[in-house]
Amino acid sequence: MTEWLFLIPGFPLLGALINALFGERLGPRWCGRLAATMPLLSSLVVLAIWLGPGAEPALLDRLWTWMAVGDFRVDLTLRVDDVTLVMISIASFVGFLIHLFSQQYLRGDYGERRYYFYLNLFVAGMLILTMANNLLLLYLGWETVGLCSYALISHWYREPENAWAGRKAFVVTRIGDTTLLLGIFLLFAQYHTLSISTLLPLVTAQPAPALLLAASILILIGAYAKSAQFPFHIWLPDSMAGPSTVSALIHAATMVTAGVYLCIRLLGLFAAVPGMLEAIAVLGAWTAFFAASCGLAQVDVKRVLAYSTISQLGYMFMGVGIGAPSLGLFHLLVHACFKALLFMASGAIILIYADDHDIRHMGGLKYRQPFLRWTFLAGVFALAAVPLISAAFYSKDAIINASFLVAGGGVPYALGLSGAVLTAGYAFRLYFLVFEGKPSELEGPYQMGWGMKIPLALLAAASIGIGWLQFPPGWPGPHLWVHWLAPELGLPPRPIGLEGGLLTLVGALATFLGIALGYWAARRERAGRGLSRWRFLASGWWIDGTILRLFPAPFYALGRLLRGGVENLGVQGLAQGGLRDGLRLSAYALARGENGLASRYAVSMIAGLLLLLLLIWSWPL
Amino acid sequence: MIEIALAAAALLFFVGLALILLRRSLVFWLLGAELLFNAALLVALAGGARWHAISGQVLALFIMALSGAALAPSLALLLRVRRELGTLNVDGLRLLREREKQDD
Amino acid sequence: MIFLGFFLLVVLAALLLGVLLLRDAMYGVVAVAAALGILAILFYLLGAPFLAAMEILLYLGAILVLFLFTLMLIGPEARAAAARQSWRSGWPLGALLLLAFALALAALLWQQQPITTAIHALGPALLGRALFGPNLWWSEAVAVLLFVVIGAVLVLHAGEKDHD
Repeated sequence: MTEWLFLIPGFPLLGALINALFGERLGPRWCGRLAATMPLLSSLVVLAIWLGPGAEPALLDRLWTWMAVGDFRVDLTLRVDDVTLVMISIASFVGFLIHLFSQQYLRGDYGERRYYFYLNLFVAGMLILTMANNLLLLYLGWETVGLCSYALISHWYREPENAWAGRKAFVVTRIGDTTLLLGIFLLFAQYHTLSISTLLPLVTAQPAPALLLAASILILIGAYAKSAQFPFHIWLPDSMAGPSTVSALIHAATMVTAGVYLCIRLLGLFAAVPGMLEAIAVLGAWTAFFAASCGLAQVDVKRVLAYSTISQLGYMFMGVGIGAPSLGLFHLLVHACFKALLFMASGAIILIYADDHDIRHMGGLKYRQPFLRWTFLAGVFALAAVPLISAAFYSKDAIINASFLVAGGGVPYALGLSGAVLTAGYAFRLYFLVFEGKPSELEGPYQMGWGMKIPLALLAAASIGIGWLQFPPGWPGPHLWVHWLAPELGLPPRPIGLEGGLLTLVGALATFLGIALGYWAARRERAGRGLSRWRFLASGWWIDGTILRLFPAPFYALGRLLRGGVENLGVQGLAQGGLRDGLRLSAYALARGENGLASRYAVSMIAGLLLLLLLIWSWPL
Repeated sequence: MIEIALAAAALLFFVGLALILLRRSLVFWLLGAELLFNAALLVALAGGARWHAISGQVLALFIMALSGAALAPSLALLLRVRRELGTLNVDGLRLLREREKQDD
Repeated sequence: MIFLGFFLLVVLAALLLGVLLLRDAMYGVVAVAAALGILAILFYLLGAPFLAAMEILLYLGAILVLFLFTLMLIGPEARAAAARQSWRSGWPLGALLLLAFALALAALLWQQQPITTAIHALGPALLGRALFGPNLWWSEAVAVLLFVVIGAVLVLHAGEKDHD
């Protein structure tokens, strides 16, 4: 099996390649079909791993040596263990569903070929990232994902705002990319290896506290920027400028989960730094709460979901931080399902309303689009963690409950629980505004094809049912997940008995409170007195504006300085101008010299001779 | 004596140079070249005398032969130039291509 | 002997100045011929009797005569035309050359130790042994070169018939 591992990222990469080379001949339709086939083939290979040997012990496939200089050696090695297996299953299969959905969703759009090229490359990058056994290869996938996100967010580049949004995402994540690379450098400088599987034991065996602190902070900034955690979340709401399918891909299957994955992968590193995990937990819970509060005041259907992504990622980081990485990974899986569902459904909603994103203009969609309504409702249930019948109830609530048990978990628990109330609030506010109430006259006729219905149905089923893999402790039913991952990630703290029952009850109450809040907020919104009028929440606590005003300004000033001083004066004036004028002068001199006057030639010959003589004479013998 | 020979060589060299640089006539150019050759000859002989070595004279003889070998085609070229271009002025020798109908 | 040397130097200088200033090429050639005669004496004084003889034979007898032939072939009108535009206006260049000459002379005269080597004559026998001993291949190369020159001159004159 191991020798086939390269096929998993290889298929989408091949698809991107064929698309780039021969896409013109294939035509947009076949480009799309080809692009959709590739992740399907990848997911079939992944399925073969599930059915075949599994990933215990970890599968290793060393393809070739990428580079070797001295003790710096990077092998192109793919590694699949259980965590990776979950990630590549999400990336390939959810990626495939999104490709499938795109077939109808993007038909007739401009740049279809470009879209499918980047979509395939995106999936390939994510698969490389997750399967990489060393940090440099991981970084390769990391950068590929960043590039593709930029290209896809600004897919409709003809409107300047979209290009701007893409640029913003690129720049913000780039900051993280750079710090991640610096962190990798630091680790290599200390431990002389980039292989994750050899690095982590070394870190615990020979800890170097100051260096580890610096490296883990740098890597954490990288993960935060990629996963849009506070305060690096500012790129994500603007990234809604891309097509909804792109948002689905970025938020569910690929990009933003990379940061969480990195943290799970390098858990040993963070655990070696005292206080680090606690900080991750608090920051994650804070992000979850903060973003949920922002989501409550958005009027753009996609921005609500964008803030919900930030918030849900916060829960995942919180899970990692409180020592329950397997629950974090579980929530990642659940989130991938329902977020892909919600984004694709919202894409359909936007199409129905003729590109109007404003939820205040919507309403009563359940009468015309029952299928869309029920699938969307499944996603909303999962987002709000409705007890028993939604997957997030088994993942998100488990994280929140676990945080109650760990030492110093009070703050994360409080933040997480209030975040859960707000989450249910904005989720149902969105649902009530779009699907309930009077039918809006703005909606147009729209018929979803099978290519759109199948992904939605599958994801809706997963959003409801995937949580049943892991019931709370003490409940009847399967308890597969945590024990399956225990060899790699350890057992998370889980409340049992009366305490567990109470905590679960509190979580369920929080959800119902949130639903009531959502109902109230939706009613006020319809009445025109909604939370969206509260600028503080709608603008995301003014953080975006503050950062944009604070940080880019010095850079612009520096840029102006460089343009005026270095570029205009130095490069253009001195170097370029000097070169140009020097060339012109010497050309003029040469042209004047080559005038055919033999006496001039004689003069220059003699001058050259004298020079040679002088040289020989002054040569130290 | 050797200093006098060297002084004479310097004289020959600079006069030869001056002929080439300052005069326009091709004949004087060739005379200048001969004078330069003779300057080199004289220096070679002075060196041979200084170290009592016969190689100075060998070198001088070779220089003599070379100057003769250079001069014979040069004079032939001079005649040819006179026939083709009708002038002996060095500044007239600047055609690198066929002469066009109207002179520019 | 040193006086003879100075005398020769002065005469040489006068003759060369003449070459530099004379307009007519014919006079120039004659002045150079005289200068070469002076040089032959100088060669003899430097202990090279064979080279002195060769200077007379080769330069005066062959090369200068070739010049004269050429001038005759050119004809008096062309010579007169060339004489009319004799110098270019290159006085800065001339001044530079004069300066350089003065510097070279000064360097020669104000050197630390005068060269006081006695000069022995090195006769033709010695030269012959040197030429056909260690320098045999060089001699042969020069011989081939001279042979090639004959060919070159013939080639240069080959196309002339078309024009006449």
